[in-house]
Amino acid sequence: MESTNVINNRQRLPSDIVQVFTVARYDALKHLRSKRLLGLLVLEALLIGLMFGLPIALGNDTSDDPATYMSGYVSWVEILVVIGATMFAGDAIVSEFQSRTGYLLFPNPVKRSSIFMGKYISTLGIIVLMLVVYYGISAVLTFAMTGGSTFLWVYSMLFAFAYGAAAAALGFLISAVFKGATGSLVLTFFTLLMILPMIAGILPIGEIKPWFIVTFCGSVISAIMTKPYPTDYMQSFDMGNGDLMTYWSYYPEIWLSLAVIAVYAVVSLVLGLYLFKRREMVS
Amino acid sequence: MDGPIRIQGLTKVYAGGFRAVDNLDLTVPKRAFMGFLGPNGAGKTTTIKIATNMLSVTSGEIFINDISVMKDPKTALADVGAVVETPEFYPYLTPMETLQYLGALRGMTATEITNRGRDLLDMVKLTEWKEQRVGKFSKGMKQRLAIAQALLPEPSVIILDEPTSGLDPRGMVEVRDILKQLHTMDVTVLMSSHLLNEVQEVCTDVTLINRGKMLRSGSVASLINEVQARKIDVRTLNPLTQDKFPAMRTIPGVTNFYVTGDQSFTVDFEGEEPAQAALLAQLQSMGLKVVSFKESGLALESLYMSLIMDSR
Repeated sequence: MESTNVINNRQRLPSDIVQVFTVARYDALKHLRSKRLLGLLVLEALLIGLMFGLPIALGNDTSDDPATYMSGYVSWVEILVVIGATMFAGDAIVSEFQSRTGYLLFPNPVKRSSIFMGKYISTLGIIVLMLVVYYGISAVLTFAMTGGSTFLWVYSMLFAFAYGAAAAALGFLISAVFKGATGSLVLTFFTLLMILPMIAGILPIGEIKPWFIVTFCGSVISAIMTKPYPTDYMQSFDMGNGDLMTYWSYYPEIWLSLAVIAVYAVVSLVLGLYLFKRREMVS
Repeated sequence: MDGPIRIQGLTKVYAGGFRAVDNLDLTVPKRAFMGFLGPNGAGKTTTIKIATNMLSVTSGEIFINDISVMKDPKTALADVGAVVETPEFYPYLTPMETLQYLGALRGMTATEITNRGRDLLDMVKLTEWKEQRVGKFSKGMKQRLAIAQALLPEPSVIILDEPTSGLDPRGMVEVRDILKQLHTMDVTVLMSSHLLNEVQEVCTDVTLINRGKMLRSGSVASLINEVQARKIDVRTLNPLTQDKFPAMRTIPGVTNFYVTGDQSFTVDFEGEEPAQAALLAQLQSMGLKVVSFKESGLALESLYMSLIMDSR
């Protein structure tokens, strides 16, 4: 005969979805109270300050076209997304094991999948918040400087959200594999900032369009601010001995890139979740 | 036998072939406070981690309130409070926020968590720290908070893994005082430890394991009664002088004795409680003014050591 408490404790257990959002809420609190978010907001302020103040300080003319003016601000977004994904996703999973907080959380009646998705949602939320702040201030300054606005920045921002989702998912995957937070953070950062961009930079030499590289797809964020949307073109360089070297400058296609980003996000999340569920809490 | 915690044929083989738990069967009776004793590497923590869904199992099963932890961990752990190893807390949360987080995961209402949390923080003497972030807490404070969170949902099953491990003497006493309070609650406790005196002091039942296999299980009293060899600490007003040594050697049951201080000595003794009473009378008749006469907590140690040695 089961006691009333046993039945009560079982009956009141929330659904998995409710638990996902509980985890997300408290994980978001971690980000909001962290120095990382503060640091990233300071970085955003510095970038905006430089983009706004430097031309004025140097007496340079700025474009009157809102899209062109704002594209200067937007050019930093890819890096901001990479930094955000590194800071908020790069150690999201491994920290539960390395910091031993898993010993507190895992014995509770909550599925690992709920913990994983809750953490992912909170990371996404923080990345979105960070981007909204950046784009919002940039849009206000653009209006102040040009007297106009453009809808292109909204598309760029929405694409940045998608890119942030894929970058964070990749960070979660790496975080689920690594045993130490430092290694996980470093690999997430260098994968998104150096390794994948380098591959995307080398492939055009062989006239291969790197449409399948997520960082290449992420460059839609900046490209979308250009009117009309840029298309691929070939450049020729004189090698000095009369030979010409051709090099293709490729631009990502918007919808294809969105699909590639979605695939990266889903595959990384599924793999990361699989590894997280199998990972054992050993000392 | 039926019990809230049932372990059936549990085996855990780690990568590399190390067999940490080997076909372990164990039932913890309802309302028992069972000590899970064994040397380092005996398989205590591995068993507890499997019971709390932190490790996968190679074979076998653990049932908590008749629900398999392997098949349905969420339901099985719904009525379990656990402290495994020394958990770390989220440093950005206060004790009350920590309880609110874990309570929300269990479906407790905010009011319920606040009221219960207030009582528990009072019980573990953390009331004045309830608004401070846990990041600054000492290990002892964190361990007390860990026990509070385990009790939060008023579970019928509590699983503790070496709850006093790594604490200073004061911290150990504080945690043990809290553990003793569990006897007044309607709970079944499984507590691993390698501190024999702690188990003897706190537990009603004990299971001894080594190399992943169970050596002995039963009530603490019955296991202690199995042990004939006892140590009795005696404190007197006057010293045990050399002229009394021959008389000491003639007392039935006394196998050895040694002076431990100016007014204290320890007797190695074989015999049940009536024989102990006779020993006390004999000491007094020898002119020793006995202030205290108590069996030291080493009876269990004798059994433990003999079983461990036999299992090698």
